[in-house]
Amino acid sequence: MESILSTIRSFANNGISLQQFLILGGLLFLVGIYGVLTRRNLIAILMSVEIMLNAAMLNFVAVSAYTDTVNINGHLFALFIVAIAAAEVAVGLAIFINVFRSKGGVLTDDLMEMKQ
Amino acid sequence: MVDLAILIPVLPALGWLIISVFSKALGSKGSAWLATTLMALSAAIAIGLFIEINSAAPNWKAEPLEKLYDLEHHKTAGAESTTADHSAATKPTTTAEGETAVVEPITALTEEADKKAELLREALPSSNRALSGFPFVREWSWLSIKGEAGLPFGFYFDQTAGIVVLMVSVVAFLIHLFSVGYMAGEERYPTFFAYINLFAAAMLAMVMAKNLFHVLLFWEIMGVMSYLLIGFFYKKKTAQQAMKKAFMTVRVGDLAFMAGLFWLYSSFKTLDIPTILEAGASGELLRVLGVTAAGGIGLLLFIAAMGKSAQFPLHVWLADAMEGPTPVSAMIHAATMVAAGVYLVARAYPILEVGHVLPFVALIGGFTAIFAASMAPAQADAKKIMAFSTLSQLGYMFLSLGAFGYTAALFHLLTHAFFKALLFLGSGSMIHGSGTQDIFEMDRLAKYQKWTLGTVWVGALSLMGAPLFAGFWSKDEILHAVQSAGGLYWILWLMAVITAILTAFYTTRMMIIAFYKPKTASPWAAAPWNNEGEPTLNISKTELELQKAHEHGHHVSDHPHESGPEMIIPLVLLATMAMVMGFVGSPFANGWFQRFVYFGEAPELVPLGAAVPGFIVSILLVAAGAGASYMLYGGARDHTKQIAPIWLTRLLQRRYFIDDFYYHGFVRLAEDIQYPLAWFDKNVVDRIVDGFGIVTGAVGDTLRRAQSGAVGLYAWLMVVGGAVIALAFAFAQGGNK
Repeated sequence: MESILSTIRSFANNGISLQQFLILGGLLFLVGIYGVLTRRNLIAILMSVEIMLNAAMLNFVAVSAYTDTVNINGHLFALFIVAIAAAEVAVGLAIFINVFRSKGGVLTDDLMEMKQ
Repeated sequence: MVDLAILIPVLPALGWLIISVFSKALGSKGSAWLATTLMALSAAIAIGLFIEINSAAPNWKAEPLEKLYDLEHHKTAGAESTTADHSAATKPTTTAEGETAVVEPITALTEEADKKAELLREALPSSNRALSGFPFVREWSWLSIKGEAGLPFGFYFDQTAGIVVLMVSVVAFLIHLFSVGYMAGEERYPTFFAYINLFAAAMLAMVMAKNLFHVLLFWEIMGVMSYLLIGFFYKKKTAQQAMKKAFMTVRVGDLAFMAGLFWLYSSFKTLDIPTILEAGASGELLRVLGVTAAGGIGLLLFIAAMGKSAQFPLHVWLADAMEGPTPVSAMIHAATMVAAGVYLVARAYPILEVGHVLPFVALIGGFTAIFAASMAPAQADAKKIMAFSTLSQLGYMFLSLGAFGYTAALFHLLTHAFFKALLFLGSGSMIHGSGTQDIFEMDRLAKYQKWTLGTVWVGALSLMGAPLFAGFWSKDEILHAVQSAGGLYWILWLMAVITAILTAFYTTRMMIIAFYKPKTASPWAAAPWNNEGEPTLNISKTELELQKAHEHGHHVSDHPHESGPEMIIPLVLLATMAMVMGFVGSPFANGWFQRFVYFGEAPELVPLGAAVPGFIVSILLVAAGAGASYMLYGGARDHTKQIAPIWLTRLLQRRYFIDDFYYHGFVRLAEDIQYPLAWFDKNVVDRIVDGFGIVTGAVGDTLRRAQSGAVGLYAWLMVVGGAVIALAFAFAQGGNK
C-alpha cells in the first residue's frame, strides 16, 4: 500500500515517467487479450482487438515522446495504426454482417464447421 | 563443316522428337519422309565432314611405305609384324621383340633404324598437309561444378571416326529410304521411323563422342532402341522373347563396360579418348596402369564389345533379333549397332594392347567366325542365314583387331556394313516379293525379281569374297594380318580360311535355293527338334494367325513380284557401293584406306607383290566353297535332300544347344529364384510399406482432433504460444547478459 501511495506521489512530483506509460500499455493489452479470449461475440472480440491495437499505439507514442526528441517515427506509426484500425473495423463489420446473414448469429460457435 | 558436325546426330534426334509428338499431324507418309530427309541431311553433312578430315589428315606416300614393309619383313622376319611396334627395334621393351633384338649386332640395328627413319621421313614429307588442328575436337563443358572439369561433352574426329560416321550415316539413310516402301501399311508406321531415327542419332553420336563416358551413354540409348525395334511386332510372342533376350544378353556386356569405365577412371583419372590414345603412344598408359590393370580394363571393355557385337558366348541374341522388321535387321544387326563393339575395341585399342588382351580378342573373334559360319548352312530362313553370316563377319573383325590388324578390321567394318545392309535389304525385297522368309518356299525368284537378283548377287559375291568385290579386299587384308601376326596365330588363320570356305558355301546355297529353285515345302519346318527344350508358349489360335500375318508381312501374295522403286533404288545404290567400296583399300588406289586409317605411328602398306599369294588363296577358297555348294544344290539336283547326318542338322539348327544351355542354366534358375523372392516381396517388403501407411494414418487421425474449428481455443493457444516464445526470448536475453 505504501508503495502504491509513493507511486502516486511521484506522479504528482515528477510528472509521468515512461515506465508508467508502458505499464498502462501492458495493462490495456492484457485487457484486450482477456476480451478476445473470453468473449464469444465476434463484435466484442473485434472491440478487444481494437483495445490491443490502442495499447500498442500508446507504447509507440510514449517511447517516441520520451526517447526520440528529433524524429517523430512513433507518432507516425500511431497515425498509421489509427487508419489501419479504421479500415479493419470496416472490413470486419462487413464480414460479420455476412456471417450473420448466412449463419443466423455472430457468435464464434456459429462459425464452427469442423467435425470432431 | 566441323562446326556443323553436331547436326549429324542432332538432326535425326530432332526427327525422333518431332515424329513422336506430331505424328498425327504429320501423317504416315509425312513422318516417314521427314525422318528420311533429316537422315539425308545428316549424311550430307557427314560427307562434307569426311572430305574435310581427308584433306586435313596426314598424306602418307605409298611407295616408301611399301619399301618400309619390305625392309621390316625381310630383315627380321616374323619379329616385326605389328603396326604399332615400329619403334620396337630401337627400343627393345616388349619381350618377344626384345629377345630378337638382343641377338642381333648393335651396329646392324642402328643402321636399320636409320634406314627406317629415312623411309618414314620420305613417306610423310615435311610439306605434309596435316593441319595443326587435326584431329578435330569440339568440346562443351558438361557436368562442370564450381569450375571443375567435370565430364566435358565433346566430339573427336580422327580418321577412324570420320570413316565410321560416313558409313553409318549413308547406310542409315539408304535403310530409311528402303523402309519407306517396305514398311508401308504396317501399324505404327510413324513410330517405326521415330525409333530408327533416334537409333541412328545415338549411333552417330557414339562414334563421334570424345569421352568414353558418352560412348557408354549413347551405347545405352542404342540398346534401348534396338530393344524397341526388335520387338516392333510386339504382339508376336517370339518377338517379345527376342527383344528380352537381346536386351538381357547385351546387358551382361554393358555391366562389364561400366565396371571397366569405373576402373579406368579410378586408376587413370580420365576417360578422354584422345588422351588415352596419346598415353598409349607415349608409354604413359603402361606406366600408370601397369599390365594387370590395363588387362583387366581391356578385358571388361572387350566383354562389352562381345555383348554388343554378339561374339561367342554372348552371341545368342543376334539370330533371334531377326524377329524385328527387315530394315531393322539391316541397320541394327548388320551395318551399325553391332559395329559399335568393333568401334569400342578400336577406340580402346591402346588399353587392350598394353594389357595383352589382344590374343584373347583374336581367339574369340576367330572362334565366333567359324562357329557362326558352321550354323548358317543348316538354316532355311533367309534372314537367319544372314544373321549367322553377320556373326561370322564380326568375328573376322575381332580376329583382325586381335591380330594387330587395326586397319584391316576397320576396312572390313566399312565394306561389311555396305554389303550386309545390301544383303539384308535384298532379302527384305525377296520376302516382300514372295511373302515368305523360307528360302525353300521362294519360287524361282530370279524369274520375277530381276533387280533384286542382280543386287543380291553383288552382295553375296562381296560376302563370299569373290575377286574385285568389296569383301574380297577387306577379307584378304584380314587374312594377311592374321597370317603375318606370327606365333600361334596360324591356328586362327586356319580357322579364318575354313570360315571363308563355309561363307562361300552357304551364300551360294542360299542364292541357288531362293532364286533358281521352284517352291517346295521347307524340309525342316516340322522337324521334331524345332520345338524341343523351348519355353512352352501358350498361344491361342487367333494369336497364331496374327503371327502368321506378321511373319509374312502385310503383303501376302501367291505370285512373286518385284518390289517398288523406293526399295529398288537403295538396293542399287548399296550394290554400287558394295562394288566400289573395296577399291579404296585395293592396290588400284595404292591402298588409300590403309594409308588413311591406321593405328600407331605410321600406316602399314602391303606391297602388291606380297599380297598376290593371298589373293590367289582367297580366290581358291571362294571357288572351293561355291563349287561345293553348286555340286550339292546346283543344276537339277534335289535341293531338299538331307545331305548332312540328321544329328548334325539337329545340332546346328539347335545352335549347338547353347541357347538351351542358357535357358536351362540361367533363365530357369532365375525363374526358380523368383518365387521365393515374390513371397518375400509380398509378405515382408509390402508389409513394411503397409506399416508406414498405417502409422501415418494413425498419427494423422490423432492430430486431426486438434483442428477443432473452435476459434476460442485457437486464440488461447496462440496467446499461450506467444507468451512462451516471449518468455523464452526474455530468458535467453537474460542468459546472454
